[in-house]
Amino acid sequence: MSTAAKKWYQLNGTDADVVLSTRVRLARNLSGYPFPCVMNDEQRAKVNALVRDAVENGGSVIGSRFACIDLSEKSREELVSLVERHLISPEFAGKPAGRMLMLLDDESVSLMLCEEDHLRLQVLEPGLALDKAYDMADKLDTLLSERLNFAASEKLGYLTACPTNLGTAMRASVMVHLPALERTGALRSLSSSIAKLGLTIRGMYGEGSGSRGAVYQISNQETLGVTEKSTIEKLSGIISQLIKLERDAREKLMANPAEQDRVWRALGVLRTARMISSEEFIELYSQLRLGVASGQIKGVTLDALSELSAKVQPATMLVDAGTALTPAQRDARRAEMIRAMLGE
Amino acid sequence: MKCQHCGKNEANVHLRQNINGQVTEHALCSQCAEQMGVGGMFADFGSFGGFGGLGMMSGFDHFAGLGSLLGSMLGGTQQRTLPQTRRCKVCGSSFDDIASRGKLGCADCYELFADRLAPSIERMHNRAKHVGKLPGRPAAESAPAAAPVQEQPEKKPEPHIETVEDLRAQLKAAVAAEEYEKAAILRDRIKEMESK
Repeated sequence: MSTAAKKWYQLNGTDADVVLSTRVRLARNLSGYPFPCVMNDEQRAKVNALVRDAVENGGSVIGSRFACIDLSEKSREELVSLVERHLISPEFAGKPAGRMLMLLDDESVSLMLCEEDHLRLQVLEPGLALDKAYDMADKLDTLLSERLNFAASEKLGYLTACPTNLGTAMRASVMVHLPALERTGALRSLSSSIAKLGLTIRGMYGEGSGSRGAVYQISNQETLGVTEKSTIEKLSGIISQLIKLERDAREKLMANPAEQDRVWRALGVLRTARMISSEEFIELYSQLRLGVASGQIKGVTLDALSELSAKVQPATMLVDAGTALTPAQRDARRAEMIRAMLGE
Repeated sequence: MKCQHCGKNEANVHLRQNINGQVTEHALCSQCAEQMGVGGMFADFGSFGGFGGLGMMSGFDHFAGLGSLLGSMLGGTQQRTLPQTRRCKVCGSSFDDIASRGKLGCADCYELFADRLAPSIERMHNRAKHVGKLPGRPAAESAPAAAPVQEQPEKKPEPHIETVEDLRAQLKAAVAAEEYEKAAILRDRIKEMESK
């Protein structure tokens, strides 16, 4: 991986006070080859080679900027770090033999080869950037389709291993930080109306509906009978409304001195603690981010916060450290990194 | 095929059970299936939101507990084993493999098992038809009915007089694609034709 290019998550995004990142994912399969769940090693190697060739030599201006990563050569920590950075799925990391990841130097575009489908093309952007992310995914898909024979039918659209993804085979998702809507309890009723609109809302950390750090992922459910554009527009519309609601809720919330006190206390702990676990960091980080985004806390930028949160994830820390760390050492190192960034 | 329970409606839910090696198949209409608490074969097929492919089996575990209930409702007499198993030439999957895996074996399976997959796919996607991008057809084109921008001399459409049914199909596609302006125009045209 080149270190020269800035990673996508180190850049500022639109509506970054509420929207952390945008992701568009397309699933594609090659005609005439069994899907990954039943294919043999030889077929997998062949599909990997075909896709790799199409990416690298398919006439895309960014074709030469992709690194081809053989997951079987990666350590456990490196694999988990890729999961933490949303570049591969946990399922993919769990079975690294014969699995390939193609990754753009700034990590904004990744292709998982032979995960559930032959190809999972993903574009990640900071902030709210659904159109941009979709355009990129669409262009790459069109270029790849000139070299690869993608399986599709008029009636069912792109043919996928799991029939729930038939049609556009596209999932667009937006990761949002909704501390105020969560705290005021408004999120519960909003969640059910979001679900009624054919979208899914899920907590990013932790299982099921609960969320730590007030981070939620909202994505489209429908893939058949809808166009890519209408899916993106619908999601954009809902997210815009959510952004406004969250901002209004923040304004009201932060007028309360007790709530102001919470965000300042979070900064206080982060600036002085000597050991911080990943769980504690997620909670404190959420409050600090709220304080910074709402203008209560000045002198810390949202960009710096995003970069910090990416760096202090457990496996990513281990990979960056280059040596084995005990959980206690890791918590100490995390606290040290946070202090270095926030200033004691 | 008629529903094995009510004998009236067309069967569109196909249920296959394997209890201690005893394989039974049932064909039900959606109303009877619903009454019995049975979803389509793939009713709980995967998690809708995710690409992860987890949670595939939940729907099938559900079937296991239905054995006695269904057996009693169907009188337990209509059991039969399949004489031979049809398998996909490309990936070797049978329909049972697909059902137990929750995933298809390859793209060809969609055509080979189209009739048996149709009820679950229709249920899963509300009977929708694809209107998005296809290889060689840009995404900007929102519905297959829309005319391509470039002329295609070798592929001239057959002369065709639009019927109310055609318009209704287009209307449905337009609504599914959320093209409400187009839908409104189509609705007015349907009204106009029907009033003649």
